[in-house]
Amino acid sequence: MSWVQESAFLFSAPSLQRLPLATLASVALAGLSAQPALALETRSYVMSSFWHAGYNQDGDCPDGLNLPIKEQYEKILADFGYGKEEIAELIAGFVEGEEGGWDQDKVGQLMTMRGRVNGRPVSAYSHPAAVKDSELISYNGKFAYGFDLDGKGQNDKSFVDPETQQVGIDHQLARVWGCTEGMRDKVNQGSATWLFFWTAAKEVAPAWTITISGEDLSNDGPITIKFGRALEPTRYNGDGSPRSSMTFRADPDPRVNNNIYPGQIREGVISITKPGPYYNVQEPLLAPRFSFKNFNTRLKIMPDGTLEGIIGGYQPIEEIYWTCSSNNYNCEIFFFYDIPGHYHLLKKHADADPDPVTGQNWSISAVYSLKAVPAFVVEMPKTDNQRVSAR
Amino acid sequence: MKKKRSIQLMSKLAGGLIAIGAGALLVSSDGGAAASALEAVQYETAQQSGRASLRRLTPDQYRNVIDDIFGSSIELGGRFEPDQRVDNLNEIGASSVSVSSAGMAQYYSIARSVATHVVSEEHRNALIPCQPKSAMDADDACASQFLSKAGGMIFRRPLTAAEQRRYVEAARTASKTTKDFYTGLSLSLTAMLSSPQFLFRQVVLEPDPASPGNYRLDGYSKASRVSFLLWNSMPDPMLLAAAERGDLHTQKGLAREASRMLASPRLEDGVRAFFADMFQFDAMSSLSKDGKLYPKFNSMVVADAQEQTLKTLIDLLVRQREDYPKVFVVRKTYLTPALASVYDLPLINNVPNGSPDAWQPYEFPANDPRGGILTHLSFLALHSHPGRSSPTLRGKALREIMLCQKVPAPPGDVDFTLVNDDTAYKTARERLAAHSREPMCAGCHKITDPMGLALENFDGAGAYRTEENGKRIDTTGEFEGTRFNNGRELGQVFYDKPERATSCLVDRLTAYALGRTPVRGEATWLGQLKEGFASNGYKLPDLMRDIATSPELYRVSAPVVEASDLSAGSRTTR
Repeated sequence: MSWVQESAFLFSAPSLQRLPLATLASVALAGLSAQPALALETRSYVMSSFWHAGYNQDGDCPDGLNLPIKEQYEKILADFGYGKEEIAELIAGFVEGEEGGWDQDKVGQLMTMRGRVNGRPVSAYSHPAAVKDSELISYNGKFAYGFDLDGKGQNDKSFVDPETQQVGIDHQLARVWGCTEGMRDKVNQGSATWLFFWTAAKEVAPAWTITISGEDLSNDGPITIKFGRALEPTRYNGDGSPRSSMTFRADPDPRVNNNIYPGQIREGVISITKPGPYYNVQEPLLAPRFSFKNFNTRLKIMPDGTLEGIIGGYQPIEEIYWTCSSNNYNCEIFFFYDIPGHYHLLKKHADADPDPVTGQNWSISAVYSLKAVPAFVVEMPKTDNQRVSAR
Repeated sequence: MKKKRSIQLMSKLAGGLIAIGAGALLVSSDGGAAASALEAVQYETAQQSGRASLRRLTPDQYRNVIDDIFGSSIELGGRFEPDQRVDNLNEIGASSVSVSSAGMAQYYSIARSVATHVVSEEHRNALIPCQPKSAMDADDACASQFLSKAGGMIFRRPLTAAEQRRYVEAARTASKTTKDFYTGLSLSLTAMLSSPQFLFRQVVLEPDPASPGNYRLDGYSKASRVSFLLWNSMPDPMLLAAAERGDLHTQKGLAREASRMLASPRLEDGVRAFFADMFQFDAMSSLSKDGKLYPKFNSMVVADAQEQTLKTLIDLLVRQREDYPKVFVVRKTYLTPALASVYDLPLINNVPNGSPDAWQPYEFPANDPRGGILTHLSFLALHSHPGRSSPTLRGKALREIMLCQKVPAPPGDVDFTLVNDDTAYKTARERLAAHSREPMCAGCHKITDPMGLALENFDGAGAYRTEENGKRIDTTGEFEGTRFNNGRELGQVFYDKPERATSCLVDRLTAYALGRTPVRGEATWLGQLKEGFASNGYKLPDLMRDIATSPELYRVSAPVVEASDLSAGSRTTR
């Protein structure tokens, strides 16, 4: 029996109809070490929106915002020893935005190669540590979404979650992005930069999937949460809204199939009870890989059946840095922020994974918001025998 | 009993092209190919055989014919004149439509496009069987070779000598004027493709040797009639050869050709065309829904919904040779990912990268609320309002399309206030009950609503639901004494009591084949067809065979033509 035939049989078999949830849930979660003894309900979702969970308000950067890139370049050129008239002449030929590029003007060439190794120019984006720290402004507000990842409660670096009012929130990435105009999120729907990234990737990048199983997802209780990746991208309707109830094949890539966590639903909130590592791969514009330690969630099943909330953990700063730096100068002049400068901010605020010799932390507490719509997720085993989850 | 006959218009267009109006009929005085005579006569015959008529090619038939002659790589371009639905069928409407001046311009534009592609450097070596002595001059021999062959297919009969001469002359003149052989050829081809002999399915009468004084359809007209019925396209070379030999005038020869055509995969094209017409799928092209209420419902879903039903019908009735009543209960179907999303169903699509919207077989579970074509999106969405479902429209469609019953039109001064009051009346059943308290409304709603309400578990876009405005939907009802609980069970009632639906199918298919509504004198024939259909287990291909081989399909009465109608120089007569 081919997988198609078998699947058709599964869908049509009367016995399956009598026990659909138990059967399908067990099928969907086959092989999960942490699955409940008897899963009776499984719901799958596909992510339809994703952005850095910023929380910014007017006046939350009392020292002002970081300079727009043009003015930042003037400052850097001055540091390089250019005189006022030379800078004015260079900047007059500077091509901003989409039309620009490292080879379009002298400024582009100078800024691309503003790193210095033994006095020799090197790419600022490949060697951000070789660029003098611009000493950019960090966000120093009271609030940020997230989790108490270290379990140490409130300290002078932690935040208060604006939604739950929980203290001791570890979300240092908020400090890095919070005072840069293009990365500030004042509407809880993502910064301009993140919206651009997501818009570019959402219809072409393989979708991320979320599968939740438990005895009764309508009530509080233990659950199992799985994050995965599909072979197809999320589909959208003509009005831009995500298309629900589409079927996705789970990517059989073993790298993306280990994000399975024990969790719970408590007062409608889905959280992970035993945070662990998270690893996923993504469309290169966002990041070639996306990983966390101490991965946690705070998700809610909304009345319309969609899923909303935040995920987070300690994320390697190189992954975050890669997002824009891979597009080098073009990204810098398109999104108007100093890429190497933010590398220094990432290092400054990194709060996990200390280097055993230098003590430099190489991971940072990071929190992202997501929305997801109901979907069907088909597991893709190595054999022909397909298995299907109910959502 | 003969009735008054009338002569329809023939108007000459520039270049000697002739547009024939509605209901023209060609009479061959020599018993052979008739176009040279082109006596256009419309008449209303005895009630025994109904009115004979010419049918304009539908857009699909036009495409199919061009595909058959020149291949599918030929681009048509342009837009066709809209079809006209008469007595529930476009195929009947095709007998009563003419060609407007704007439509003629479009036909001419399409003909130019086709002809230009045929003679293009890309296609000419494959489609033109000879090469001119000079590409910059006329070549009668080569033009004649091509035009006679192509013309025989375009007109679906051999060209007469006069036609052959005229089209070669046209090609010669145009080639010399343009100093380009292929341009000349394309202009002559354009003229053929713009002519009524191509645009209309010719009905040519010839004296019937078996019945002196009476007429019969000539072999080519019979060939076209059976071919467009079974394949929705022109006769193939074998059928034309059978027509030329006179085989189609014998029952044995006709049955042999019908069997051959019924065994061909092209039968699916004919079945597809018939059901697309019967189920009024042409209306799908203008179907739209409120995007706010039904964001998933887009043009792709509309196209897929129509295709889903047609694929289901072809698989069930042609490939599986199941009985027709099963269309009301069939659970096996085909879905695309977009359709599955609206149906809220998982659809595994295990294809390599690409082809994300490939069709997949799917079977609704036995206890699924869906089952049968009445629960397909194509029916549910088509017979709904843009922003809500409509038990009345659905009930009317069930009566008129599936059961061939007539539902009277509503009076002009209906007050729709109660029907739109979602606040006081939460469900459609409640709203319609309130509305039907008006005596002038009650009569028709009694006919339509009980069946339509059975499908209220499906919203205006066809998605499943159990509540409306927070109130549980009641889908129970009764059809001719049998109670049902929902739409699926209504389909089961149609299956268990197949007489009305199968009788309707015979009526529709016969009308489709004839291009007109059967007349009283054909009641006996219809009765025989229905008996045969039932005794054959309601197999559609068998019914199509019975119709295709019935003498009644080809029966014509002798036209009574007054001398003044055919007087020289006056081809246009009222």
